[in-house]
Amino acid sequence: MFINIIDQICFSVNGEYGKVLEFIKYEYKKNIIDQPFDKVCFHLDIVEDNKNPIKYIINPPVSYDENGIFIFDTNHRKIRIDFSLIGKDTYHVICDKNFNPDFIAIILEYLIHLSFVNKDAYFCHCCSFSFHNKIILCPAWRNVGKTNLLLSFLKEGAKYLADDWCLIDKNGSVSSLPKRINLLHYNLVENSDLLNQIDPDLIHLVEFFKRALKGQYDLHSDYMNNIKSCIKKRICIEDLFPEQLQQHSNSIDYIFLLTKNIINPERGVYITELEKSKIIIKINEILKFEQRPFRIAYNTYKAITGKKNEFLEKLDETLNTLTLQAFHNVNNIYEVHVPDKNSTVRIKDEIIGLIK
Amino acid sequence: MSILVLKLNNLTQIEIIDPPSNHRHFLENEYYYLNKQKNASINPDVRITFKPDLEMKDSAVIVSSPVGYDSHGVFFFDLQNRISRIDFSNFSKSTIEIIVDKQFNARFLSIIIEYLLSNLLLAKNGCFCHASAIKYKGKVFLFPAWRHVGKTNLLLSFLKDGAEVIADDGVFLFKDGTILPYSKCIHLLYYNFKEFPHLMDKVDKSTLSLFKFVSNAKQGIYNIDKGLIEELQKKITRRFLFSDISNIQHIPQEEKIDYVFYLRKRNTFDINSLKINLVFPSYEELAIKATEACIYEQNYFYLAYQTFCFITGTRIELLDNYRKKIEYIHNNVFKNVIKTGELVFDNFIEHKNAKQLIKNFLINNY
Repeated sequence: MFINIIDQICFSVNGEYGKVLEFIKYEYKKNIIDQPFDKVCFHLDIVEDNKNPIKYIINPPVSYDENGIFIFDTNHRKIRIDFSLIGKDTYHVICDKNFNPDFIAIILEYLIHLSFVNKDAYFCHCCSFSFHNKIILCPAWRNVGKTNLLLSFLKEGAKYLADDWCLIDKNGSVSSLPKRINLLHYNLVENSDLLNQIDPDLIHLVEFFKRALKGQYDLHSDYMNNIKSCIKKRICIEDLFPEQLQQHSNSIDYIFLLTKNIINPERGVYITELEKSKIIIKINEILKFEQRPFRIAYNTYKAITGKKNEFLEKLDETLNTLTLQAFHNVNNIYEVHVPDKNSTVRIKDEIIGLIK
Repeated sequence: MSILVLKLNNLTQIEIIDPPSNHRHFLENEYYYLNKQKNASINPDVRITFKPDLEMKDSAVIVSSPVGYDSHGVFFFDLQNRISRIDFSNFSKSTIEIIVDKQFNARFLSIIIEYLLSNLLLAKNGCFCHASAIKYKGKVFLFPAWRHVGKTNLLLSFLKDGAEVIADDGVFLFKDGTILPYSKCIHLLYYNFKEFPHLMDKVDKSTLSLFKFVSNAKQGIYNIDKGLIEELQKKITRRFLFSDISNIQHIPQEEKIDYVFYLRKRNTFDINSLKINLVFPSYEELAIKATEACIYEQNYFYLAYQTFCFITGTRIELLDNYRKKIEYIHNNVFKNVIKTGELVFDNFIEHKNAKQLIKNFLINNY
């Protein structure tokens, strides 16, 4: 089968049935096509690749063995990316059939991102929505509160564009990507009402967890961590907010970079202006950090083969240029200083106040 | 005030102000070119000062161990959450200030010093090279390698044949083909002791008994979990002065490299080759490999720099171009030595055969 990503790129998926294939069929259920409409960017070959133990761990999750570089999950299942052809021609990705689905989702996003760079577009690590006809982009380092902020705006009637990754092209237009949003314990604790529509059973666990967080059961931290890892849900956004989708916008009106306020958290949430040159550096550094395992994998590939991939060598430069071009016409750029994870309502109010 | 000054051939100067005794002891044992001085200079490249109770606070953000940041900027943290702050804003412009907790891990501080030296040297056409180096029959050999490939075992093997040790873990490499050793220590692990058991004569009793226990456990004598054996094996680690393991003393000075042999583990690209082989890919290919081995060793430093860029929204040109510069230096050096080659191993226990291959090559060709 082939997966169509917003009619611009496609990749093939073939191989043995397992967790990976099952995941892809769910994640991309509306994007499966029989025939490719264009040259395939990569082939995802699903096989059994867990027989050989990992001998030399480079830097988890990257390692290599007799067959070359691979990335491994917590159960030591492997995925191998052919770095020699990325950006140049169709390449192969060989994945163990039961590789961790959450991790394969991240890896696929990385590969799809690289395919888009060849089409003068890139992924920005942000949430994005349209509110009162204004397109708002909120980039952030992980765990600052992007998703909770997005959900709170959607509850106010905003239209969804992106949760984790947003596609931005060099002209500054923004597109939604086909993926489910990944809600974790801190999202579901704050938004347990959403579960009424999609997974009422999970509500009981979330409610129990909320009470446990308040110390009601005096649970050991190991148990708490176990429960946390159970409270997660991948959801199609249209199942939650069916009338609130926006696939595309030709421009960005506001950028609000969310950063942890470690300097004076007692001041609460506040917003300052941010220079364009600084937001470009910050966004690119967030992207680099999010893609760090892949960069280590590519560098390991170079160390072993002595070969370079010119497309990947120039990637930082290309991304810098693309961001510069994309933000050329954006004039409202701000930094939102976030003191802690319980600030979603304040952030939303501050942003609404500023827009008005 | 007591000041230790680490000065590399007038290229860089690091001043360590009033180091606590554990740090002083470690640094004095670790480096050549370390002198005592009474007065601080006005503009050293790096100034390291110590403070009590610099611990990572709960409010700090952990980027990825061992790098974090807080309201004062970027820092490294050790296993006890003690921190060492680094201010990148003056990098290669004026003095870089490093503020270190008095109880910060001394070995980790020495690694941070090496990061700084290496990256400051980039402005002077020099960089770190992750390699061992020896002088053998009057010629200087450089063995760059990724970690855990077998650098140290090959080095120890050559020492048995009368080679002089120049460096075990790394050297500073300059565009003109010279190297400068800086550490006077060798770091030995379980598999080094296993191959060179005579070195066990120099370790303390508890390390010796742990070594024997692990060796027996590996043979299945005690029926212990493999994971536990591996953990115990990691505890068998000792740093020695070169003077403790070798009778032939090398004078620490600049040396011109004659031969470069990159060491690499075998994989399927070499499926038709022998288990151990000496091959001759282009020097450019070897420069890419050695560059990545060098950068990998400094990954934490570049992560800290990346964090600095994120917090401040500013960049340092020298550090933005580190990869190109390091490759440029390696390329220039490898191009001009007598010969470059690549030793492909299956396993680091093959040091005797590896050594013999190099010896045969020299006999047949020079």
